[in-house]
Amino acid sequence: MCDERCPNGRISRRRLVGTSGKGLAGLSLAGGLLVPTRAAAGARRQDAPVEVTWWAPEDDMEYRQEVVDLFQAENPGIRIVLEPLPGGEADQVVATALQAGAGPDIVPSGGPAHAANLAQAGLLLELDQYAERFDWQNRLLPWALATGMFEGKLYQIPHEFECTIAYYGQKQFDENGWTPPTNRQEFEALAEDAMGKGIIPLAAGVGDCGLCTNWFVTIFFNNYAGPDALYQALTGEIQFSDPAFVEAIELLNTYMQAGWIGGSVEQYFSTSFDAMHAQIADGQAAMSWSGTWFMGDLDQFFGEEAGNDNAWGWAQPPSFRDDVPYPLFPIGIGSTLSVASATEHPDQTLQFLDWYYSDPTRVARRIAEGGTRFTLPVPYQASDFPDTLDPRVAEVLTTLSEATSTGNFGYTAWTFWPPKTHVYLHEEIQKVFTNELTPADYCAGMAELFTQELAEGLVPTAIPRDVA
Amino acid sequence: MAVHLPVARARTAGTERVGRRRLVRQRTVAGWLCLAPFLVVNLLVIVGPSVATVYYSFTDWTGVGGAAFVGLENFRQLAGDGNFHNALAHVAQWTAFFLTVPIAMALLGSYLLSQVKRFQILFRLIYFVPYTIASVVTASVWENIYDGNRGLVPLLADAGVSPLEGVALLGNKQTALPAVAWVDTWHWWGFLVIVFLAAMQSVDAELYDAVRIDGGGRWREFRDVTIPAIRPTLVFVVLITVIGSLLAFDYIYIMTQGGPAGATDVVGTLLYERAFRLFEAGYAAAMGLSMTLLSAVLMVVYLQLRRRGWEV
Repeated sequence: MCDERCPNGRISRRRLVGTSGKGLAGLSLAGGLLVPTRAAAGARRQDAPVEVTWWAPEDDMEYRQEVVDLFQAENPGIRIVLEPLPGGEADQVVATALQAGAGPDIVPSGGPAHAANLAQAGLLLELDQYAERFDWQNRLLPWALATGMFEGKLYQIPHEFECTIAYYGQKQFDENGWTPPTNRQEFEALAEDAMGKGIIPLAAGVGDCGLCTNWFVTIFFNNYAGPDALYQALTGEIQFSDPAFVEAIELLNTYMQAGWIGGSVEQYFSTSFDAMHAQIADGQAAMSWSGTWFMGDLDQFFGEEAGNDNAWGWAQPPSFRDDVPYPLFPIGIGSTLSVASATEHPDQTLQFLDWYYSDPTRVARRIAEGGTRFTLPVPYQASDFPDTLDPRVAEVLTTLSEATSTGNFGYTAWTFWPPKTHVYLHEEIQKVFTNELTPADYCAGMAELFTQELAEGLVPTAIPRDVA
Repeated sequence: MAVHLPVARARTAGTERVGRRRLVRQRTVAGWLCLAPFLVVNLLVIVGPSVATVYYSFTDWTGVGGAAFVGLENFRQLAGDGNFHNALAHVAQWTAFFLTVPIAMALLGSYLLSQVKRFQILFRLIYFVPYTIASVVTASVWENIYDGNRGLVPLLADAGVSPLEGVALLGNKQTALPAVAWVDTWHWWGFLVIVFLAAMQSVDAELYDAVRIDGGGRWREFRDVTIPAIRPTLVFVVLITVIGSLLAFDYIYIMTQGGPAGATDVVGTLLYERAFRLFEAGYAAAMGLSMTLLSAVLMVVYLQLRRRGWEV
């Protein structure tokens, strides 16, 4: 389909000739101009490979192309046409193209909420029969398919699997005799010690991304209220106005007002991600709570090449209540893959997707070469990762894979919250930090919006606690 | 011959008239033919989406799939939307800032530049360069300058000058909007300098001589000659400033995304969020249409002033 209209607007000579031919064919039909594009595509030579189009973010295209080449070598009857999507607006480009009948076969999305919107409009193919045919439930991590459900049907497969995580500066931890805190008492002791020494306990900032305040709400909801309470709230059994959530936000705000997060509220609002990493690397801050998506970026801030002798370590943010397990891994989905309902080649498209997700060793190799954008939800083992990969990254991914497959997971806001409640979550929390809204009112507002969206069927499927 | 001459003249005149009419018709047709491609493009990319926006503003469209007609519901909701009111208030502040700071700077800059005889082209170029830089680049440069850890403020504090020490300009609710507006001003005012300078250069030099003979100084020259003489340009700049302010989006979206806590939200950022994060494209269309109506009202006021003889 991308042969007719590609997202980046470039038209090759071959494509121009093809399009013109299809246009002329269309003029001969009374049906209009759009129909012939598919008709002409269907009129391909019998021995030509079936073309499956895949639109993907323009970053890391060379790694994706390597994957495609590998697949095509094994499957000469299928040609995957990889087309780059502009960064930032990819979801809008895809949605527009799909509605115009000119979208790709393999549909990327920035997360479950976007894909659910497309599914609701009937633009995505139901994948349940393929999931059964390919036995995905047993080959992917056990929770993976649950995140791709909309109104009880499977429409999307997680592509970028991620988790909130703590990074710390090894040097300052060694020099101060600190260890990664596992509970509230340990964290508060470390924070007070650090503040006394002029070190910010948590480097943090949303200068680059206002909505990334949702990381902290995610961590405090999971690590204070706990994953069981969150599951109950996400399924409507309890409300977000429950005291457990209010207390979680009160604690977050207490730390924020004390300057433990980012140094001050003002600094938190304006500090960039680069500055955040640099603060840990040069010892201005002890650690940060962000996510696995940063693992690939940290090397440029730590070590000789960055002009320091520090190294990064990782742990999970502490549990803030005794009855919340430590460590806990809140699951997030950074991107998903779906199939267009208008695809003419569903079997070949799904054949590629099955192959794409089928071999953890191949996926692990891709992560080593292409970075953490390729963290598919498959059961990794340490032996899957090549020596070229930073052993800390391999350790994080292996731990994450093992922990979540045994039920040790939580829920990230950007994956499991419905759109309006999610926007409320990261916008209104800023008013809590600026003392314009109390934690109780914040949670009450969230409960009200969530209840509305739950009634409208817009809440993504929460992974059941017993899925493992 | 003498009898036939007027008839011949009349015939010749009639033939000329017919010929001229044909020529005019041919030129008209040629003109429309030349214009046709642009009209078609205009119809496709301006009129089409505009009509679609009007239609969708009366629907509950999510941005994908079908849309149900909801009448005036979006506009009713807009009237009671606190976030929209907050954004409108910021648009008003933004407009007030741009009607004063960059225009005043540009008037001063262009007046001073008009007095410069040597290297004027070089100075014009220097003033104009920021206008040619992409907003993403300008915003990134200024984000670094404003950075509370590595920017200008801590640098000055290290040098013993610390009027703003500890203040993160983009993180403070009071300073964030002016801080972003200043960045846009830095990019915009050089353009205004060139526009005003061009207008000033067409002012009759004898008027300045008259002021000098009257014993007036530079200030009187500026107030009594320059400003009245460039009034049409000034009013035009005011008009494009107001309309541009209603459309403010890029610098705010890049630098603060409307934060902290909504302190820099304008209608443009709110509209984007509604359409693409909340999937409320119908509501966003209503928001956009409201801003268009506001612009239209301003245009009508401008045209009325012109009709009443104002030299604007």
